[in-house]
Amino acid sequence: MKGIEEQIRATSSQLLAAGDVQLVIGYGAGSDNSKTMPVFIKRAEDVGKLVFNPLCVSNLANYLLHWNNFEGKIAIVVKGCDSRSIIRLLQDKQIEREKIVVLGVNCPGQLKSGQAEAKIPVEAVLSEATVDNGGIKLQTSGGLITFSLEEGLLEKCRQCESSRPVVSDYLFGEKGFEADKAALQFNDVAALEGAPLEEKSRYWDKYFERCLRCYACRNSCPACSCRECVFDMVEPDWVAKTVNLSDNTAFHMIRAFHVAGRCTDCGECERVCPAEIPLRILNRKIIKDIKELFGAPMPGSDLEALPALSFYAVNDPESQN
Amino acid sequence: MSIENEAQGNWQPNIIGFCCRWCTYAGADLAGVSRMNYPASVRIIRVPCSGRVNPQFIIRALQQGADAVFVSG
Amino acid sequence: MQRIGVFICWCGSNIGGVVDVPAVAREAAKFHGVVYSAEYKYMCSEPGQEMIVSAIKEHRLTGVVVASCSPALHEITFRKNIARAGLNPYMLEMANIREQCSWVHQHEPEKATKKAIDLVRRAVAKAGKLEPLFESTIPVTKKALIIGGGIAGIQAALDIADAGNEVVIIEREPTIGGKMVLLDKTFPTLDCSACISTPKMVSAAQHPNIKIYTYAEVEEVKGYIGNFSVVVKQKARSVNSKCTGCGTCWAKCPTKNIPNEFDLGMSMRKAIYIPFPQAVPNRPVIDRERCRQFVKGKCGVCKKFCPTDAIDYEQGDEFVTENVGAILVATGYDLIDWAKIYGEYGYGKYPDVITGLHFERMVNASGPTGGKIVRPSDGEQPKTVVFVKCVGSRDEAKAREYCSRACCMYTAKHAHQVLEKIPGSQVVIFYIDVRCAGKAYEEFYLKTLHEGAIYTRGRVSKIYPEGNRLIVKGADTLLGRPVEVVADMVVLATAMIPAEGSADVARTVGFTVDKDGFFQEAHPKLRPVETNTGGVFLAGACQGPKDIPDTVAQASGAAAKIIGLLSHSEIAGEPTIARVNEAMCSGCLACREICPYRAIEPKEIVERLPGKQVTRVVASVNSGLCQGCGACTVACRPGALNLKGFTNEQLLSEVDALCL
Repeated sequence: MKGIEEQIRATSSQLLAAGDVQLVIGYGAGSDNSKTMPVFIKRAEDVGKLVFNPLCVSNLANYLLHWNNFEGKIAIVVKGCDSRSIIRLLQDKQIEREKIVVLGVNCPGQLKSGQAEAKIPVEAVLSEATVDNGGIKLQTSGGLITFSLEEGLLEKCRQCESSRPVVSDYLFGEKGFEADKAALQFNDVAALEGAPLEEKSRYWDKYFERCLRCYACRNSCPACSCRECVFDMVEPDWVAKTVNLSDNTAFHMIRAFHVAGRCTDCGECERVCPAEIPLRILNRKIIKDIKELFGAPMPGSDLEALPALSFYAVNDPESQN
Repeated sequence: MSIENEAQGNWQPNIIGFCCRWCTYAGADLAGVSRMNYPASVRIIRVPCSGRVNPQFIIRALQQGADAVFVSG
Repeated sequence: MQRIGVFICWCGSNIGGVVDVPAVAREAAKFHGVVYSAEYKYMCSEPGQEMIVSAIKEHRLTGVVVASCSPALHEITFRKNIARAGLNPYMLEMANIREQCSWVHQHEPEKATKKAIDLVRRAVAKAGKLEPLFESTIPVTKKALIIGGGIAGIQAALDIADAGNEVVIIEREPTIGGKMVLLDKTFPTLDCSACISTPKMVSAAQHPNIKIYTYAEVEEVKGYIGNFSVVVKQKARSVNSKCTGCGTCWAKCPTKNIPNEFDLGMSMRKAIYIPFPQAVPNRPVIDRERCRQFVKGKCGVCKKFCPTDAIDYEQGDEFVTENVGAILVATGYDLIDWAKIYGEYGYGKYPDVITGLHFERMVNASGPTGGKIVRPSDGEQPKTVVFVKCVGSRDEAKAREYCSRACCMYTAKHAHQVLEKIPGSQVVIFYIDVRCAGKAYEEFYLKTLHEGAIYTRGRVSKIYPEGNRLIVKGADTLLGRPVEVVADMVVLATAMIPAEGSADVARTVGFTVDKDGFFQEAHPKLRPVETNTGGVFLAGACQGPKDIPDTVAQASGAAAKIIGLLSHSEIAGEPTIARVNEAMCSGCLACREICPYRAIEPKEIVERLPGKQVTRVVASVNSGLCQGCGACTVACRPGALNLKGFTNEQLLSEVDALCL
């Protein structure tokens, strides 16, 4: 992956030096060696801060919303999954295509945060990384650290629809991770769908009960582009601010509804949840239903395909019965 | 409905209906004009179109104790 | 803080006989915001209304709840009532404790009383969140556009123009007149169709308030009630306005033998032609697909002989914009293409099997045979004529389910004409039912019957030639036996279907069609000449099969509606429409795709940020187009769109109040 990293740095340097972009949003070294964090580069001489490795799990697209009053052009590093957010933001008219340069990466796959934290010593500096069928191998100053795909590969990578970005101006990396066809079948959702009602109720009650209502899921979500959020409003009081099972459940249902047809399954909400609520299951249930009911593609995979729930067509499958 | 009624098997669900003023609400009026009968635990909110019914209204009704919600238009 | 007054109606015993009204009034007095609660025998009566007016003044009420019958019945009454006391009429909320309470729970008075209290609580909760609403005013352009220049369009145009309004007629064909001018005599009075319709065509053409575009189509319609902008496509006629209609050009034109559409191909015309001698305007058109000048690039005979230099080979299609306040659609009908469907009648292979419209042209003194009834195959006079009714109508299996309504009468008329014009002739009519519902219709049918027409109840199963005659095989279902008639000519009464291209008209103008493709009226009984789109009206057979008297009556009805609309310089717009909170709107425009009325448009606003100004796009609602359905408000996640009169705040408080 050193090659990808070098290409990102070289291209960013060129773009900044030539004045083609005024800002590069990418990944940089994290607060400890098991993490990366977003970096915002405005000068060509700073491109050395950009990294790319299997620790680049987050989706940077959300930062485009933070910078949407920026007067210059912005280059942004996206993986296959993140690129769908770019399409979605374009469809929601939150960004302008001509102001964005997409640095796409054919993503080889990403490492589970928990595994990274457990196995990478704080002082071990990463020098090279590979992801292939043999597993995830990290060459560090503290020696070679390996993970089998089974233990190390992120769940969402295992279910990855396209590791190749659906939109990009520059494309780095030879070939991305190819998920097993069977893993694309929403088996995680189907398993819960098949459970008895009481069990499903217990399952969600257990998680929703412990929600802190910190709204990290919302804040990290690239689909949450409202200027004012219903969860912050006092009038109308869409949902009470109190933290209890009833209001927490209402909060999570409304959050899921608000991203329905627009959620690209980037998994940020679940990644940032301090209470470890399996929010992707909720999002993926809706993605699966929309797919089955409307035959709609994964949101963000096609710039021309409007979200299934945001237009009306006379030949809508729902209006046929 | 009280717990005793429920124990006696007389429980009737509290139902909130969101009815389009042009069709279902008018239909409910017609049910009245025709002196049809239905349980008194059904209560109707008039909306200008079933398209006006935000799912958040339904969540709210269920949260506030409605046993069922129907949307008709 | 609202000061709400609650007024509970007994409606005699209708409510008071089931619901404990005084108990409801006592409970209502306790609700949040209620400063006055009263009951009365009949709230809608004069003393009842007076009671509300004086309570508003005495208790300085800011909102009123009336618990009585359905708002469908008396909402307007009570709005006017509170307006008399100086309140905004929209500061009223009704609780429906009759239709949706006392009348449906009359055997459970206790539960009904409890429910009435709940319903009043809901109304009070909403009343607490009501805000004054104001009707917007929409200017009205005092001009109407009529699509279709048949008898419906002409009649309506004359009525509207006579009332002092401007009218524009758009006709697709080179002449106005529609189907009626094709007909010979009209039932039941047997007056000549052309004699009564051509004077109307001339009146329309000469009327100072009427402008006619022939050989033209509607290209685009934008706008809304009172304010439509219509782009008219004037197809290239190749003859300019210098034409005096002298007829030299079509006399000299060397391209002959083109089947004349007006005579359904039974006569021939030239490449430059007028469809028939009384055409309005009396100005020819060049058939560019057949004209030698256009096909071969040389000829120019008409141009050479034209005394006024009116021929213009270079003329192109022109687009004209007309701004109008109302649109009347009167695009009429076509006849079903029976030859594609009815193999048993020969798929159109036998020349002596014709339609009723062919018969009309033939029996018409100005038609291709000069009024003689002859067999198309050999020009001989037929002795035995068979009529087959319901070809394509009332035939669920092969064609259309509906009755075409005019065929029973015109077939009776045709039978009468055969018997009258051909001495010793025989007429056999196959029918399913004889439907003659109309003034003097049954009498006409009986007269034909007495003249000797043989009515045979049953369908025709096969028509085939034998020698130079036709064998018609059918069944007499009354006698229960097969029938075979040797005929010289067969006339089919074919079904009326929506005119070709009418689906495009509906799409362009923006209204709905029914399952058969006819234009959908707003209400089958109470709003028969209106569409669901404000300012768009219907007349004639485009709305459903009908005969001339019904068409003309409907056209005058639609004209009256349009005159009513155009009599106002401004109309009141519904105040219950969507509004946008621009500060909250992120400009995603999900609402625009959702809106069934295309009422949402993007709008640029300038916003101040620290140190700079930014321009961004937000949604804006066109108050003329918005119909107040509220679908956009649900598509909008933060609720930047809200529906006046049914706001998010109001609906949530209603839910809370009802679930208590």
